Amino acid sequence: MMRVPRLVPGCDIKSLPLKTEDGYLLSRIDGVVSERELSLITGLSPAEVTMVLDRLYVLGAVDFVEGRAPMSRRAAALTASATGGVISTRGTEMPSSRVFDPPLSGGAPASRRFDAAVDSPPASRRIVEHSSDQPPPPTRRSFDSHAEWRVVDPNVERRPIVPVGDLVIEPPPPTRRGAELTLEPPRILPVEIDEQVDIEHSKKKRIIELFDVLESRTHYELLELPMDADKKRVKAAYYSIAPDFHPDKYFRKRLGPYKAKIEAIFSRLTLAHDVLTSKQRRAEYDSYLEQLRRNRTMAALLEHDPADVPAVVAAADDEPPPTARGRTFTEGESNGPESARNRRLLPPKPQGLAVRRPSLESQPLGLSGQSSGDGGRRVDTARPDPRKLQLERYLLAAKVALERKDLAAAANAYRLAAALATDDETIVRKAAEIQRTASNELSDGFVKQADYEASQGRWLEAVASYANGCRSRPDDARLHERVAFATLKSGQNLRKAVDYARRAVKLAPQVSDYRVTLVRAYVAAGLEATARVELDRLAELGATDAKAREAVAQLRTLIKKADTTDS
Amino acid sequence: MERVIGIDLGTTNSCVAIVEQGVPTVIPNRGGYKTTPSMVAVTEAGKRLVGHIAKRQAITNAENTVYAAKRLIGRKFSSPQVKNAMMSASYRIVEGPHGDVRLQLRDKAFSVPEISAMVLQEVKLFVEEYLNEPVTKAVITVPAYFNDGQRQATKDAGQIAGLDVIRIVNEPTAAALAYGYERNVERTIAVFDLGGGTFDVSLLEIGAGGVFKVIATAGDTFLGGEDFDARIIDWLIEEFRVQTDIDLRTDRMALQRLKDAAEKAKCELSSVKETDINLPFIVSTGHTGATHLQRTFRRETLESLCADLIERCIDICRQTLDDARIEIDEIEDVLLVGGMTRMPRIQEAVQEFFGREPCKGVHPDEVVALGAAVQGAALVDTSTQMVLLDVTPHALGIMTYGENFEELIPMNTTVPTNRSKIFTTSRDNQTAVKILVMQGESAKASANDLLGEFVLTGLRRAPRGQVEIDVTFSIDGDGIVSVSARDMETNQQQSIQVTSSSGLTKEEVGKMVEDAKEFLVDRRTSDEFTKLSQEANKLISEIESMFPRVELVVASSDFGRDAIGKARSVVERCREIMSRKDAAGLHGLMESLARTHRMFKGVVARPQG
Repeated sequence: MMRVPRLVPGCDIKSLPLKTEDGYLLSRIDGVVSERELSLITGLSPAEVTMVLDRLYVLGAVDFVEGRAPMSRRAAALTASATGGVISTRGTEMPSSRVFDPPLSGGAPASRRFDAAVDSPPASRRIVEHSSDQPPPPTRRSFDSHAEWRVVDPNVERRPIVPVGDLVIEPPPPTRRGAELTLEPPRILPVEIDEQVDIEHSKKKRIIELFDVLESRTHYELLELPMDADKKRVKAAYYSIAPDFHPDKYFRKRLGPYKAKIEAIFSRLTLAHDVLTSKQRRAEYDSYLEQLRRNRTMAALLEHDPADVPAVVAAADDEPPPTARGRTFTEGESNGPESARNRRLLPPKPQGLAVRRPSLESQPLGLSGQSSGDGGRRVDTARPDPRKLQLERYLLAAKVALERKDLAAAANAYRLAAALATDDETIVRKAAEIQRTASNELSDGFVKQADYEASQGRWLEAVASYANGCRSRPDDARLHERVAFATLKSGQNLRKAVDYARRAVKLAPQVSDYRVTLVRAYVAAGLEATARVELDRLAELGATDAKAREAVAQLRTLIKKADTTDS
Repeated sequence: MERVIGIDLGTTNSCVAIVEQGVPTVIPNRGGYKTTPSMVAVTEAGKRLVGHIAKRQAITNAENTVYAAKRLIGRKFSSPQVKNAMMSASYRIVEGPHGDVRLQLRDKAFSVPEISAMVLQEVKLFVEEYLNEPVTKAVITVPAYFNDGQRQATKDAGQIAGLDVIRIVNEPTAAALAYGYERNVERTIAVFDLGGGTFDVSLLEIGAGGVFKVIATAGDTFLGGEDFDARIIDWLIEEFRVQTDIDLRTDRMALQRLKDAAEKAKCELSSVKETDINLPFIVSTGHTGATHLQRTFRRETLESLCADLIERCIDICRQTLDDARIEIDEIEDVLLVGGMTRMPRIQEAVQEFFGREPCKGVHPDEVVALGAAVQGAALVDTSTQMVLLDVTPHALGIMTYGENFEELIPMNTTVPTNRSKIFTTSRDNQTAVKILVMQGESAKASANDLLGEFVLTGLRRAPRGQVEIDVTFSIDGDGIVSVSARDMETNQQQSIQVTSSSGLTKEEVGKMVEDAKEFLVDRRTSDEFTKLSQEANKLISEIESMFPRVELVVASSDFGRDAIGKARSVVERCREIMSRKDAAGLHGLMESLARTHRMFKGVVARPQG
């Protein structure tokens, strides 16, 4: 059973003792993506995701949409073709990427997710849910098509409320914790398993299971290897797994739909072997994995909603009163029990003055009296300004983060600190500076990721990654040229190629290479006249450069050919 | 379970093997030889000769004797290789109806697969005789560097010969299979295969549990023993011209004799330092004297004549290692395959290059057929552990705008595999695209081989570059290439299975299969006839030798005289039928002949008196 986590509406996430990965994961939970997909999106290992989700569940930040086991699109397509019918693919649909060289985490490249995600409000504001009778929109669009979403209806799918005062924490739904490399078992469709072919039942099962996870697994996971496995082990693993999926083992057997699956599994295993046994390719792949993960984490941290600043400020001002262990109280109906439970789990915090939370005022009378009594006691102890304390906490966090060279975390901490101390120029300046540095680092990270993707011929993903890299470097000519180049290569959206190439040329008019790309983009987009003008400029520019002259000659024939085919 | 034979269909010699009780074994031909010359001839009487017989009469029937047909298989008549072959071949090469190659033997122009089929048919026949059971399934080997057309033509040849070719295997790969079979070794090896017509080098990894993974393969389909022979022939002709001012090149029969002599001398020089080439009466001119060719041929001369050929082989090895990013010291064993590797200079060159002594454990002429048999057995026998992970020797891709070749599957990709790329339209409002499927390594499309083409129609009208077409190539386990193109927006889809043309159409192959079957029936009958007539002759001679004594014993009775008269008529009818070569008639008479024989024996054995 695949778990689909969703945010518990009304839960005050900011009050929870979350780690960065918790926050990161939380920002990706939308009630549609499943546990496994979360691992794909975030680059965290499935086991990590499971652990974090369990923690979030215990904290009351998320619960699970039950009864929906999303079918992968491929499985659905295969079923449809096998049965001849059309199957409506309920649940999540991952746009299938290019089969031969799947991105690390399969499905939609995460970078593109980021691409889309930055334009949409962050998770904290997206406490939304679709009604259960309406098929959920595809995951990929969940970031940009809010029209399809409705604000949560409190009557739909609520978890049973834990009785007030009960300290027993509900156990999370069973998960397969601990197994580092095993993923949720994919659903096996009866149609597939009953297919009349010359394959044993157990083998069929194995084929379907492996086929389903092909794109979501890393090369290491696929060959069941640890990251540090040496070449010999990689080979041994490949030689022990791959022959089972070589078509010769099923020579002249009736395979039906299994033929394609067996071949897909075999080629994917071979790719994993080829990459991991080549020193260079493996190093590139490893650093790509690392980069991907870093980029995702960083992007998640740097991706903010300006609205969270006031929230932080308010939270600092509203620092809740300390609650005695085991003491019970309820808040608003919608989030009372969870919040209460969360409070109990909170580690001791430096406490600020008990300024009453507005929400407490609406509490039932009996309890509010007690609360205000507490508050009154603490006012007497005359604690320091909570804002200041909070500020110090953020500054300390920033310092620690900087020491760890975790720029993203530092930037985040500084940003919040700056929000609390808008009049402290040093902090504000520092915050801006760190933010810039972090953005640049992320940008570099995206470029590295993109370079690898480009080297693997995964141009679509490269376009997205380069574009992400461009975001914080609006003046980097080369990056813009790369976006244009990759777009041209991917054969998609030639307008975009032209725009980016134009920008690159504008930023660095002297670089002839960029102009070459621009001319190519013009030609590809069917703008010969413009291309010719640009070509003349290029010819002028590169009159002394042999390489440029050659390019000019090539482009001229290209334009000429385009002309002749037109007429 | 039906047995699968493995056939090494070589340029000069062919060899066949089978796995018997887990042991790969070469099957000898009728003459007891383990290899059969890949030669086919048509006699004046229209009789087809294959193998040793064809080779023996080659000198006197040079124009109608085909050798090295493998060099022409699957090639276009216009290709430079064929033009080259026309210069040196003693038989006539003509153009077929589809620009393919045909060989004119007497009044019939045979396609190359038909010629190869004759060799295969001969092999099939003697294997069936040897095993005493029909054989239909075969694995045939081809040079690793053969392209799709050449492979298909080889399959056609098998089909014409009545064989179900269940797999085409690369020769060096087959050699490695035979080498690693049941040895349980784990190592990286290089196979250096210099045969009669082609040179191949392959790098393989043999893993635990009988996994053979080809890492890289490369070669030259026009570099082999024949080229060494040609060098020797050129040298002999030149020497002869200098001596006598006669150009032997114009004389086809002289050429054939030179070829034989060159090959023989080359082989001899593998074991001795020098040899004599003696061709008396090589030409009959009006002049007196210098009509004999006689020369002493030294090993050094041979080596200097062929130094560049050997260097070419080594260059290809170097290139292959580079492409595969394998260091020479990672190679743990080197196999020498093909008759040419007996040449000491080649062994030295290989040893120098790889820095290790080549493996001595394999027989260069037989190892390929053995490997083919091993692969055949592994395919049909599910209990075997062995599995071969082969690669595609050539890159596959499509032709794009501007006659460029866009590669989708690079060479040395482990099959099965599939790759896709997104392409786009090159003109505004283009509603159809033509997908040209090509094979080769050149960036220029025209330099590569066209495998097939199809048209994807119904594209949305849009400015150029806006319609996206997803092109997917896949090679399945049998090496069959499928290409599909899909309009990503409308989901319009078109695909083909590349049935690479061997130069022959399906109908033609079908017709040839029928022709060959007829020929086969013919042939079988004549085999049976020979056997029967031998038996009949034996009986007749025995009967005749007994006549005097039988007459002596039974002449006294009417019954006896009658019996003798009957016996005489049986013998006479037998003789008459044998002279008509009527196998069926002879078959019918055999029983009465045998009865007569038995009766005579009985009479003779009776105690006299």
